Amino acid sequence: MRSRWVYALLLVVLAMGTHFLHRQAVVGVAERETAGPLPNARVLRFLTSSHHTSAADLYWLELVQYVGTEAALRAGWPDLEALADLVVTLDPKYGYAYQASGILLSTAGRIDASNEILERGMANVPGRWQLPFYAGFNRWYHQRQFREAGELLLRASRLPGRPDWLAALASRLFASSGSIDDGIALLDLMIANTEDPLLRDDFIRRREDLVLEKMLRRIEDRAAAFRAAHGRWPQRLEELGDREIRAFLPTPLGQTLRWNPETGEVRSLYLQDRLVLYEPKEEPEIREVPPTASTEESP
Amino acid sequence: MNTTSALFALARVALVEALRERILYGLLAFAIGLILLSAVLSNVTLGWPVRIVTDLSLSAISLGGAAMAILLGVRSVASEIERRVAYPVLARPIARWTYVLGRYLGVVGTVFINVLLMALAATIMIAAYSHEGFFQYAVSDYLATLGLMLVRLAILAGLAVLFSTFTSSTVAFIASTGLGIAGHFTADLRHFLGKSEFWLTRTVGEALYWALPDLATLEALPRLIHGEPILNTQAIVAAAYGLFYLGVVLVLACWRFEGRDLP
Repeated sequence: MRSRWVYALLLVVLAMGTHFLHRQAVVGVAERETAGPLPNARVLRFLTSSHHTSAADLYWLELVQYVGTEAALRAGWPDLEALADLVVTLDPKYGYAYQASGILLSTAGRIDASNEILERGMANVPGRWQLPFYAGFNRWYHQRQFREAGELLLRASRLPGRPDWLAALASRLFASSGSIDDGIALLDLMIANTEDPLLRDDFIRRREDLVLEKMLRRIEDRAAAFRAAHGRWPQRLEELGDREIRAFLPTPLGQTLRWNPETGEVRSLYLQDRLVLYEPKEEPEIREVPPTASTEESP
Repeated sequence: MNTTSALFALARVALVEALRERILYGLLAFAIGLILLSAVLSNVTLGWPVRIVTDLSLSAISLGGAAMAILLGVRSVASEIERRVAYPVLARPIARWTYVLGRYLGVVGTVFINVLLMALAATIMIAAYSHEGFFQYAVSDYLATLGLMLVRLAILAGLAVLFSTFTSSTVAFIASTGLGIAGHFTADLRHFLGKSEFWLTRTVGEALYWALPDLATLEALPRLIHGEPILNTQAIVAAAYGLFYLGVVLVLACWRFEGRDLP
């Protein structure tokens, strides 16, 4: 009878100790900025033999968890390239891994690394339209290389499964060299084709930046016209009499606008840095892109 | 009793015995647990959950099936001899090759029944995670992948039975597991040893390439998840290769057991 109580007590003490240590261990993982030691991709590819896709899936899951880790997010995902390289070396035909890694690297501001993995994907999974499409977005949004962006979108528009109006968007990029409306159209397409909440939120944020920039420019134009006509700045933005501006002001983004009637300066609390419009010196030429193989991976 | 009925009677007994093995249910539970885990893991991924479910659940079937084939195969003959249960059977007018083949069929039948159960669970999972209610893969390609997996498991069971005919269960387990792993690297072995400047190393590489089972050729899972066609001439030739290799292994097992002096 007495031994039962000893066992029960021992069990409770050990269970409590296990729980306490487990919590400490989990906190340690959550606070980690790095993905921990990673194996050599080529060696692991050899060792996993014909089960290399399963190994790629397991490291893909690790990449997803890593991206969602608070400390890693704050540190700007320093191990993202290494994890992405591991996944696509294990399974070079993992189309979605190239696509999502490319977008995440672009979000982290590492555009060269993003382009590199997207180009690697274009070489290994040539039938996946999303890869040249997102590479085109990088060129358009981050690098202001409109000619290259147009060419990449044109390439994407020739691949199976692409949205119907991608070709029209590619033509517009060539023609307008990067107007804000083109950027909004590009992001609308990206939002419509992305199911993952993390990536969608990033695209929605970028779209809001462009919508705000477009509205700030409209207000500046109308305000300048108002001053030319009346010899003063308007006291309130409603005075401008522009229907589009008036409809925008009550929206959540419109609420972030601040107008200074003394200086005629308008800004948004949400948009910290204004976007700059790039004006190319000459009209770009549309270069023919050779058609690629249509070996499309499933979604 | 003619040879055919003796063969099937032995197979039935081996099947019933194998189905009583507790380790079998442990492996089955482990594999089905992995299939269910694949569904859980697919919920924490980005993008394409059906790929995770397919890849991990079919890999679980492959690993679970391989463990069953080897564990049941190595015990099929060796353990019967060690426990002296085989002697009353062999005292009857039954050819030794019938005994070996009967035991093999019992083992492989047990493995196939379990693989079919696991495949059923995996197929339901894949269907549940497929887009818009349609099964993600072409049925013929999916069945061809499972078919090639069954050929692979039949070879592993054959190797285990072969070693079981002339050595103890433990040694047979180590040897057949080693061959099962080496069978996934035959092409790499030939490639690396073929780079040697010494002719003997190159010859050994070439000999191992032809002697070891090329199990990687019978693996279609990576092609299935990338949406590539599987049921083609290459798959049929690969399956035929596997069946011929299995034939060689079983002939060797029967031959070796015929010549064995039983104490």
